[in-house]
Formats: sequence, C-alpha cells, structure tokens
Amino acid sequence: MKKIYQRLAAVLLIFSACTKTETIPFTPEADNQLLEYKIVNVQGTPIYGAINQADSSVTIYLPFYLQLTILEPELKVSDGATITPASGTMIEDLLDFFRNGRTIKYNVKGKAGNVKGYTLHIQVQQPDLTVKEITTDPANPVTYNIDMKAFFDSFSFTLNGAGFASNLDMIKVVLVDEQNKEYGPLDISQFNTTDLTTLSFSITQYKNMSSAILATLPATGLYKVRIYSYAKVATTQNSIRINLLNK
Amino acid sequence: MISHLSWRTVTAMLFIACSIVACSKNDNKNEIIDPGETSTTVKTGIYKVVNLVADTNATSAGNAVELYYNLEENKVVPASLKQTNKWDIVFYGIYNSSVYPNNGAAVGSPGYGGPGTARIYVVTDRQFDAQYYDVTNFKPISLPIPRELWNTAFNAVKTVPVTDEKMVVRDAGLDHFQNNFDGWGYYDFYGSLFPGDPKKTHVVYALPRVIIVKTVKGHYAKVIIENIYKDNPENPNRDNKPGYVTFRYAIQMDGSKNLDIQ
Repeated sequence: MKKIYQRLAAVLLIFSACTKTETIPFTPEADNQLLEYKIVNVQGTPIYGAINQADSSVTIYLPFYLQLTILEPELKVSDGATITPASGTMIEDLLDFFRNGRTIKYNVKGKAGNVKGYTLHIQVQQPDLTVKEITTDPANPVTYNIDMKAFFDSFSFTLNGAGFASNLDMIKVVLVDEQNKEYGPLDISQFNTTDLTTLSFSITQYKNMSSAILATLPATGLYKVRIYSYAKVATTQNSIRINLLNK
Repeated sequence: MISHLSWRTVTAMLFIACSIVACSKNDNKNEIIDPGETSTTVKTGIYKVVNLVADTNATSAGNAVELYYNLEENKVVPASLKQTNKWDIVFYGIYNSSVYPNNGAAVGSPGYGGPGTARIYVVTDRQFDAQYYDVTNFKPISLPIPRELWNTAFNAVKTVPVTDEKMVVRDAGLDHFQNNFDGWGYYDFYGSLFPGDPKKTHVVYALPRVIIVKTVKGHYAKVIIENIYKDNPENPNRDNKPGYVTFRYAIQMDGSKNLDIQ
C-alpha cells in the first residue's frame, strides 16, 4: 500500500516537473469601452441595454406599453475614457426615429486617444399592427367625392385593424399615392375612446375650416392608407379613390 | 507654547483636509455630466410667477398647449421632456386649467411612461371656504373674491396635512366641473354668476386654495394659483386674455414637510 502512494507521489512529481511557466504577453483590455448603458427615465428599475463589444453596438428593448417618446440614457465607460454624446443626453422624438430612422452613435475615447464607436439599436416589443382593407375588390376601389365648390361638403371613412396604440398621439395616418408619396396626416376622430380596433376620419370642406389635406390632394387619385402606430407601420394592399370635384 | 502646538495641529489638519479633497476629486472620474444648460436649484422660499405665458391662443373649445414647470429650478420645461424627471407640474387641458403632477405611473396623465413620482393634494377647509364660496352648491358667493384670502389661505398651510399615499396622481382642475373634486378654480360655463352678461360666460375664476406638490425629487411645495388671465385681473371677463398663469409657491428644500416659509 505504501508503495502505491510512493508511486502516485512520483507520478505527481513528474507531472508537476513537466509544468513549465510560460509568460504569454496579454492583450490589455481596451480603455475605450462602453461598459453600461441604461435608460433611466422610467419607473423603478432602469432598462438596461445589451452591449455587444464585438460588433460595437448597443441594443435596448423597449416595452410598448410605456409609449416613451424620449429616452434618457445613463452611461458608464472605461476608466478615464470620455463619451460623446455625454451620459444624460436625451434621445428626443423617438417617433421620428421609428418613422424616418436616424443613426444614433456614441464615441468612446480612451486615455490613449483611441475612439470606439457604438451604434444604438432600439427594439420595441410591440404587438403586430395590421389593417383591414377598405376596398375589398381592387378592381372597384371604394370612392369618396367631395365638392370643393359647395358651401359645405364632407366625407368620412373608417380604418379597422389591430394593434393600434391607445394614445392617439402615438398614431399617424397618411394617404399614399401610386408614386408612394404621402399626403396628410389625416385628422383622427377623438370621439372613439374605447375601441382600439377602429380609427375614424372625417374630411371637411367648409370656408377656412377645411381639412388641411384637401389643399395638397390632386383632383383625383388612388391612395393606400398607411398607419404609423408607435414603432410599427402598416399599409393597406388596396387603394381607395378620392375625387375633389370642381377643384 | 500652547499656541505653537495648536498651530501645528491646524497645519496638520489642513494638510489632511487638502489630501482628502484631492482624493475625492480623483474619485469623480465616472460622475455623470449633465449636458446642456447648467441647472440651478432654488433655495427654500417663496416664489411668484407672474403672467407665465401658457397658451395665449387658448379657447374654451379645446385643449391648450400644455405648459410644464420645474418648481425646484423655477422654470418652464419643453413638452418634449414630458417623460423625464425635469418637471414637477404641468398646466394642461382647457385653458391650461388641469394641474397634473409628473407621475409616470399614472395611466393617461401627461408624464405616463416616464420616471416621475410627483403627487399633489388640494387643501380644502370648508370653514375658510364659507367666506367666499357656497359649500353646498360649489360656487363662489360673490365676485371678485377678496385678494387677501389668497394670502390667508397660503399662510394657513404650514405643513403637509396628509401622508404621501393620500396625495393623488391625477389632476387638480376646475372645481366640481364635470367631476366631484375640489379644484383650484371655478369655471362659470354658462355665465350663471352674472346672468345676461355675455362677457361673463366661459370665464375661469381662481379660488384661494393651496395645492400641495411633492416634487419628483421628493421635496414639498405649496402652490396657489391667482389667475390664468393676463395681468392678474381681479374680476376677469371674456375681454381678458387667458393663457397667462400667475401663481405663487413656497418650496421646502431641506426634505421636511415644513411649509411655514416666509
């Protein structure tokens, strides 16, 4: 038994004897890193962004229900590094960011002067936005007429669907012509306060109280209806026709 | 000899103090820099805001352009910052008459979704009210309401009379107008206080009532609105221009509920 232990000890000694201390030059951690990105203008726990050092990006996942239109980030960077825009710089007009897109970048400058740029991605966890067709037969578009010479004239229509934001400030509805040009936004009726699957629009021609969109529409045209609801957008497949008579 | 020793002690203490200061400076590398204009916080005291321009095109037909206010910095805040902690109260709705606290948890309020935790509370004292107000039918007895009542009401509030839980996150608005709440102002929709005078319909009369505000930073303030018409007329009518808010507030910055501020 003693022998076994001796042998074991010998084997261990051999192994340890084989271990060679080798010095490998290490790569120091970059001094220009973004280390923490959190959105603080919310109740309670901040919303932390996921930082990807490999592809130099930050992704924040925004809940839809908060309907934030502005973000206040608080940032941490490597010791001695500086960041622009600075921590606390607001990201304003998120609706414009969602609708028109813009690049939001942060540059972290390390002690040695090396700059690393991070791109911000915003993912909104929002339910699907869908619209029902107003025109069901594309060969026969639903047509609305409005007489521009009449003392008073108006028409109204309804857009049904799902996933509409409860706050109308988060919604913009436009008409889109065949060249993909947008007209509007349309005035959304404020009377419906309970049904989140319906939006109503009324277009009126009356003295100086006419709907603003009438000044921009041509005499006749085919338009799809497009809805922007917070971070999502949906457009009808089929068009409706609007005729401005006597324009 | 004694003085010599104490000089030494003083020098040593100074030296230590300096080194501590130096150390703390070095530790501040990761401090958060507030970009933009430097903000200055007010001191405990009474502040009066006169003819604050809200929405001068406001009519009784719809909501006015809202006006966000930071009581701790005594300044107006742009509407784009409504989901931030940069403001305490907003003058909202028709004639800017609804005063909402900045509370991000309150669904349907202007700060919803944001970080705000402000609350408000309208102080009502029926015994005091009886001097100018029909406490059964909820309307002023006679107009104009004497100006000194504003001072009396303002000075009478010496502390926060309720716990934070009793303070609300909804608006303080027009008194018993389409609701059952005591408000800061009386809206004479039909001009019933002045029958037959068309210039007296749709007029808002401020009442001498204090609104307690717990700011987003957790300080307490008392606010009293004097008018929403330009130049603070005692007995406004339709010829007076709405959208010019005049109010007074006292803020306690030491964290206590003491509102007996001179």
